[in-house]
Amino acid sequence: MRFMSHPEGVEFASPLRHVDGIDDVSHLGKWEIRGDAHGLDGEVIRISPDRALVVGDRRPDAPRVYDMTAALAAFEVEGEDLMRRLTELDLDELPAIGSILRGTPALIERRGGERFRLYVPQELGHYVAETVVDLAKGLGR
Amino acid sequence: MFLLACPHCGPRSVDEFKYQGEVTRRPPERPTLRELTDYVYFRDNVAGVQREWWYHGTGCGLWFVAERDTRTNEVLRTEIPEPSRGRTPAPVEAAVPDTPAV
Amino acid sequence: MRIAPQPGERIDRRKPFTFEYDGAKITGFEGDTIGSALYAAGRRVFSRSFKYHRPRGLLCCSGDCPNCMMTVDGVPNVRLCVEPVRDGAVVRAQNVLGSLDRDLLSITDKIGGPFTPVGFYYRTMIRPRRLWPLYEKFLRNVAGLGKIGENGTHRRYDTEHRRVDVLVIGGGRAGREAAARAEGDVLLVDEHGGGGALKGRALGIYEGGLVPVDAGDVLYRFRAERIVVATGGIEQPLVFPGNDLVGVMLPNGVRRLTRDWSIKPGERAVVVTADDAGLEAAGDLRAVGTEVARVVDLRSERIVQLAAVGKRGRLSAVLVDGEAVDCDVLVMSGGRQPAYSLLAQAGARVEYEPRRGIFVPTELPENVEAVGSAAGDLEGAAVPAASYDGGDGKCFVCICEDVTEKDVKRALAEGFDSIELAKRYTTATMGPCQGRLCHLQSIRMLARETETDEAAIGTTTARPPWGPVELGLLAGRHYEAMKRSPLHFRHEEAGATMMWTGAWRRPFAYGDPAAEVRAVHESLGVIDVSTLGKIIVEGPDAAELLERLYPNRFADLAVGRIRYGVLTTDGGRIMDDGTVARLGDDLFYVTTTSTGSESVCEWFEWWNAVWGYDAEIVNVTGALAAVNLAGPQAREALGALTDADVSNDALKYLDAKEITVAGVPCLALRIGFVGELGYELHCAASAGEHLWDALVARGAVPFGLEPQRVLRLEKAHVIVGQDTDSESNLLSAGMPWIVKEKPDFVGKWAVELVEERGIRERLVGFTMDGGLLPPEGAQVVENGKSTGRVTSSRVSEQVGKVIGLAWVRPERADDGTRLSIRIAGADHPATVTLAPFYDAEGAKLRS
Repeated sequence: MRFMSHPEGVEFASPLRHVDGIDDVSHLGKWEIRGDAHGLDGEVIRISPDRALVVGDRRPDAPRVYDMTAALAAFEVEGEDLMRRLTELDLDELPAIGSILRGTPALIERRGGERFRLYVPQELGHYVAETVVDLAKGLGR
Repeated sequence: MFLLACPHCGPRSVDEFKYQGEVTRRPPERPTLRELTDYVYFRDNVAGVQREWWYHGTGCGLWFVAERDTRTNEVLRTEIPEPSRGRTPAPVEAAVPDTPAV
Repeated sequence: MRIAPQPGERIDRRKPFTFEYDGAKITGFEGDTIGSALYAAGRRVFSRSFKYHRPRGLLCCSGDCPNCMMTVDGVPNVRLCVEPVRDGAVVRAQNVLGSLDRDLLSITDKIGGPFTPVGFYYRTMIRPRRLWPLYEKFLRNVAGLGKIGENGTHRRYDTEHRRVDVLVIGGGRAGREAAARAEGDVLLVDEHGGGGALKGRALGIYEGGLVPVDAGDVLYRFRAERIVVATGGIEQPLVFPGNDLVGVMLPNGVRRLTRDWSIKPGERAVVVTADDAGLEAAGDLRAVGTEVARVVDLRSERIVQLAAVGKRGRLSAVLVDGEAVDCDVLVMSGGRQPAYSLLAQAGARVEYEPRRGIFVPTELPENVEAVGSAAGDLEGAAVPAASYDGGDGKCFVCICEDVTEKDVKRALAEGFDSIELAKRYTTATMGPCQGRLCHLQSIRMLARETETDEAAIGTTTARPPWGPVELGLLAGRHYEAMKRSPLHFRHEEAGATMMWTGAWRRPFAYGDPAAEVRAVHESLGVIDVSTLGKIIVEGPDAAELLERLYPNRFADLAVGRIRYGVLTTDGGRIMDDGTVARLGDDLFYVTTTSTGSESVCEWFEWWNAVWGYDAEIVNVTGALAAVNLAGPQAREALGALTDADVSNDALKYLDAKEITVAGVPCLALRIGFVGELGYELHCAASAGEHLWDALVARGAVPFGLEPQRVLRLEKAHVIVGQDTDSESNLLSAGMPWIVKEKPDFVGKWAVELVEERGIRERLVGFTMDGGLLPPEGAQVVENGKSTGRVTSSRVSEQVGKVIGLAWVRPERADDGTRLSIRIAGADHPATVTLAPFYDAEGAKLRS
């Protein structure tokens, strides 16, 4: 399934490329693992008992791996106050996948301190990022 | 918006889930018209504890069965259907009403 | 009437603020409310009552009653007694015709009594019916409270989610103590803020420890492990004739005027009290120089008669058991009632305590605690009479809705003897105070009149919100989850007309839809189909799972081949359709309709949870961009962009193959939704624009949804959800060939039963004999009766006719049958056409 992967030599068109003021990290390699994800390289985020997301440049060596690099928009934001305007998720229990902006699914992880990274379906990425920028304005940023 | 404990994610607001109705029994063999409509359209609708399907759609994507008291919304138990990797599939024990998401 | 500075006053006289009231400039100090500044400036009438337009003045100074509601800066129904002064505020009276002091609508008070009894709006202004428009106009004008500006108010509202271990509601003494005692992450919320409390009003207690708090522009949604309710007690008015006159106050009104704002409320006062609060108010009055002419302590003095009399709605004297006392202030205190509403919402029971004459909460839910006055921890007060006689003035049970003692008696006489019914009929407790100052009074009066007790009458159900809240705050920010295809910005740049399809924005057309149709038929077109649902099904049981989900066969599908598939439910309903490509022995690539991607994926996962097959179901809808390159020149264009062999032998109709196009690895699916030679190319979403640009540079003309709808209709391809509905099944939709003989699939039994019993209607193609285009939804008629309906219709240049799909009776479904279709009231002839309108044999697709 090479068609799932972004080709070398072609510019990566991020779903957030038209949103100003967002810290876009959509280009990061993202791999969905089905089944056992123990002992894999890269950052492993468990999604459900049987699914995990591995973030890293190299394709993990596992029997069932799906390239989700292009499927998920990813960006980082600063501030628990901003996060609390996005989601009801417990910010002390991250990473977690749950509802943001009243009904959009997102995978959220803490990147140290008050920095958070969100992964959202790329087709909703522009909308989410635009909304987050506006919510930040509501907090005077 | 009561809290429902996803067996994987823990307690979450119920609006993260999709409710898929009572667990029903799909007829194991060809039903009569009466039996089919019973299975497809009729529900027990109990005031009390019932077993029901839930889908953590805005979350981990897990389908699970919950025992919920319909009077209080208290969820007594949740269970993830047995994963079957490498097993021959079980015949349909409990299954599905005709309430697809469209 | 501001007096000399007092110790402990809450105003800072060095910081003046000036606002505008009905054109005049009014000055107050920091610490003042707009209400107190107006009172200090001599204003006594603050509103006109709801029904009778009686003058009303400051009563509670707690934000409970309706008496001081005005419009401030365009926001209606602001309670001035708790609204801080600010520079430049524009304050206007509401619910008046004329001015507060001379309101022309007060005529209803003089003559309205007999004409506007309780429930009058159910009985009057009904006949004659032809006058209703006039009545309606009049009623619209006089009904309701403040008015919202023509354009509404556009403010920014935000919602914030918070988690705490303990949430304490109410910042009085008991609340502050509870907060200090509590362990863990504790938060105190109070309507007036201060003392480290978050300023906001808890609107309710919901399941899961959810407490929404109204903080003006932000709605806090608290999830609390434990909730402590310290909402205090509410000072209760007494019921007697003239109890609404301007000058009649509750003890807190006096306390705040005198102590907080250093205002002398009046010259001469009378106090009638059931508890110490009235006595304290008497002390406060004396301290600012108001003469207290008479104090009636109901705990030691039994009175029978009590009435207030006034001139022009303003208090001038009080009659106590025949004795008249001139005064301009009357402090009434009927004791305090625990503010149990939030507790009752949370599930507590409320019990009447006859000794103290109040309702107290009991049987609290596990996670909720009550402290202080809210819990019933109140000093003893005398239980006042349900009402006192003594004059012929109006005796109000509910001042918000202008419900009098007479109204309650009348409702009873008409049979509304339960508190829930009496409430709805009289509307007592349904006004802005939401029962704070009238619930107990209504219950007490019903108990007296029905000769039973308050416990037997019981309370009405407590529901959120506990206090008024702006709808904008509840609605919060507007979220419009818009899905954008990876090619979205290319469409915008090309000037496409965009339209909503579900949550997606898609191009309707880039210019002239007919020209885009022509391009596909004659040369080459390209359409963005990234919105198609895309699902990978992989595993040793993948084929078996699909066999059981679809009526079609998939176990025998060769690797590299594609089959059209339709999903049905066990009820037989057509749910979705799409293509299934086999990419490997254990690997399938499924496409769904654009709106069906999520529901089909859920459906697959659900059945797999039931059956337990070893198959992964991966929704890759967003991972991939997809385009359909279609037209007679499609192969040539594709060939020029790839090294792969795309000849008709190497990539046949219904073949699936991975090829690299313009440097982008693609899954090429040779299918023909639009009826010409075509290739669907699926690639990583992030490379979609690159692929699109290459195809357009090769001369492919972008076409939108509208031309696609014409093209698919020429092929009589069904759109699930448009041409089918919840009644459609595979046989009635004309797809019996889909159904294969196998032991089980979802929907098998329903199809078999339909087969035995026959279908009730049938989906067919039709052509209009004339050139008229029937609208979608037009009726198919026989002998003037509707027997079917049109689901799709378009003008087809290619076919040279108006074509469409329609549901008809099975007896009228044979090829060539003549139909009548009603368009704008007239019937027009049409002919059933079962074969596709264009390229019936599919030669173009296979070419």
